[in-house]
Amino acid sequence: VDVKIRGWRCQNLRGGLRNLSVDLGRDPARWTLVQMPNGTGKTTTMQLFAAVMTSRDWTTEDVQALRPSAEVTSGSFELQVLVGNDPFSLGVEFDFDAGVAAYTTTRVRAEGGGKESGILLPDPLRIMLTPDFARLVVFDGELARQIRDLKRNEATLAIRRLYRLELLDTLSEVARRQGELAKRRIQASQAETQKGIRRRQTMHDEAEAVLGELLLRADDLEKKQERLAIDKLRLEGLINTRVSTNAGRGKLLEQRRELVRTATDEIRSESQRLLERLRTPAAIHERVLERLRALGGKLDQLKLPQTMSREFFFELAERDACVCGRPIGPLEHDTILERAPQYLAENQIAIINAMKSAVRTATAEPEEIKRLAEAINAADRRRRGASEAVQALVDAAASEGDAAIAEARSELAVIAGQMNAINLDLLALKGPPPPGAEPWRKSIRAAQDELAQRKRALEDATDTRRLALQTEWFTSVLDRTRKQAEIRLTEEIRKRTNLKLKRLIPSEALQVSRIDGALILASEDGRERAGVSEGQSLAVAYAFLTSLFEAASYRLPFVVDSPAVSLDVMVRREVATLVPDLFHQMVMFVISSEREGFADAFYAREGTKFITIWRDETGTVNQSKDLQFFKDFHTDTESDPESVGVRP
Amino acid sequence: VSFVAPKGMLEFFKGVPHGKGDGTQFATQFDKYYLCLLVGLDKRRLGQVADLENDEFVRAYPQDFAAQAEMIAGLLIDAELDRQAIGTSDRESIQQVMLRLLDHNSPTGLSEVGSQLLNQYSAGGLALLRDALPSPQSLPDFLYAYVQIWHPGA
Repeated sequence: VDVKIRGWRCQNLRGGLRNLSVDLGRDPARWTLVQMPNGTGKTTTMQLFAAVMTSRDWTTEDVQALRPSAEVTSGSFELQVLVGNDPFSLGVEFDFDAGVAAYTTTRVRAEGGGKESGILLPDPLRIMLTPDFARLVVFDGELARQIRDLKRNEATLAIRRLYRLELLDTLSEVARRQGELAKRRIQASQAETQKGIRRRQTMHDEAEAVLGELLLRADDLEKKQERLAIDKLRLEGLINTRVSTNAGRGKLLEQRRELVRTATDEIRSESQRLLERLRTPAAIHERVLERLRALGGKLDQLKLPQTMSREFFFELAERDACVCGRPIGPLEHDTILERAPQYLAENQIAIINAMKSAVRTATAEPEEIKRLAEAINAADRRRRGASEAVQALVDAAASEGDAAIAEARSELAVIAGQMNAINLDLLALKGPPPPGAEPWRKSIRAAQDELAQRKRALEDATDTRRLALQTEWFTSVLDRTRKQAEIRLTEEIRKRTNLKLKRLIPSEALQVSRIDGALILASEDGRERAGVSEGQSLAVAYAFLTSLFEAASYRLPFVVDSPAVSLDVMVRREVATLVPDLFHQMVMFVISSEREGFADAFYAREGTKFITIWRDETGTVNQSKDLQFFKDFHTDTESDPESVGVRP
Repeated sequence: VSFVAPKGMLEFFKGVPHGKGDGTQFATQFDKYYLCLLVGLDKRRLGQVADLENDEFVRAYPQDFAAQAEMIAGLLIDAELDRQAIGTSDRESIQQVMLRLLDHNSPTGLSEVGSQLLNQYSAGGLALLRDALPSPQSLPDFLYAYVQIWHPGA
């Protein structure tokens, strides 16, 4: 996609930029030379170009430096670009009193559109245009020299920046940090070796074995318990039969036993029912329900929870403007984020609303609860009475000298003792863990906990070790990827640069032999080349820059400040001949002294636009698009006291 | 934190195991925790952190109680507003209490602070039960006595 500059507009800025609008047309020329005398704001214009393309931050001093006079309170700059066929107007508005700058974008959209806050270029382009990267697009000649300066590594940095290789370094750094955390965890858990893992495995197996043993023992006891229960039934049956030899007594016994059974069943079912009722907090007592209702009413009265949730403010903070239309700057953003937690989260609101609605339908059931408790109590009384009556019948039979009954009763006493002992053992096994050392060797619950803990420790150790190994592998892959990518990209760009150089300077056979921080040149025999003219050197730098951009998905315009001012006339000719074909759009800011040898080389080039901008005696800024005027333009003051500059 | 039992709870209830939930046993340990909790919240009796076991016994509400999560949160908020003597019209403080106690990300809907306070109320309730009742020998015995605490002379 081609990105082209269509024009720019300055309003109330210092220097020659009080009121200036430059229009390069709907289909801008490939080359535009803008002649501006020093002090009319050439450098400032370039810096404003870079600023709107990269949305760089402004300090109060930077903003103040653009203020033309004390009575002017605001100013603006706007760059009109075409991204493919879509027009964008990238603006920055200055509030001189407050010392702040705000970016705006005007674009055509299916919905909305119009002026929006911030620089809203398409994402891939916006991500590409970092402030570092702007140096490559809005170009001051200094960079071209630096690309060839062996003491610097601008060429390699340019490759890294354009292809975002630093992201791989960042990812690698994140992985390394995570790996470091994992390592610390390993050290803390002393499982850094296979030996450590084996030790944990042994501990895990031991707990597993102990738990298995305890479960077996409990199972054994329960089986014994069942056998004793059968024996008990048998003996009770025997007693029953003996007691029932007396027909009248037998019938009575059966009735009383039946009473015990039904009372026991009733106690059980009513207890279950009561426990179920108790599980609803509001049911237990009117007081509880009243309190919940009062709370619900209080919240309704205070309009709590509010309808505005914390999430609403989190979202609002990320917007460019508030619902009232006021812009949300970094300060507002941070303040909103800081205060958002004072509001309930959506789900907290949901909990409270659910509570309010649950309370509305809840009922207190104190009478039912009291009735159930009383039913349990009454059934218990019946059961005790019936049991005692059964006992009385058995006692009566035994007292009549029935030896079998006496024997069965003594056996039953033994069984009761055994059952008691088993119950105690089972309670120790299945009940709460005992106090003292290693309760997990005695209690099933403690053993289960111990096993879970040891299992976690084992998993933790094996997982951390695996994580550490994976991190090591991952970062080495990332590092290798970055190195390989850099080597391949550099080589690709070197080859493309050389192809261009062959075309540009066929007589010299000038080639880039390697890119090692800077571009290193060689002659045909491969030896390092020293004697390169400044013009050639610039051509090499430009060839390199354009090769760099070739693979990018966006072709950017090339804006350059005083490209020829420091070159002698011979070199200027060379540069003016070699460079222009490299770019799809070039906007060159020049001063009148650059006409000779540089600008004049464009006079015959088709598709070149010449613009002259100057300020007359009255201070008014004028503009001419006439070639003859461009050629004849003359100024006495090459340096103007009003000359201003801001650093991008 | 979620649910941490008061120290001595299992000891107090050792005559009434949990597991069967058939009218002779509690269904879960949470039954015991909850019955203590209700008393603690009702009497505004907040136990000490030192009165709690070290580890949670369950992270989320058991199935029997899942539908009561909001009611329990409401009772906790109510008890805390009362304990902190927050006036009924003090909108800001009431909102702050809710913010502190509720957390939508936790399985109980309660924040760490909320869970911890709930556990402390359960510990407070156990202390009251221990003062009022002997260690129960059967579930029906306990339930009957428990209802007597709520409805004396019933």
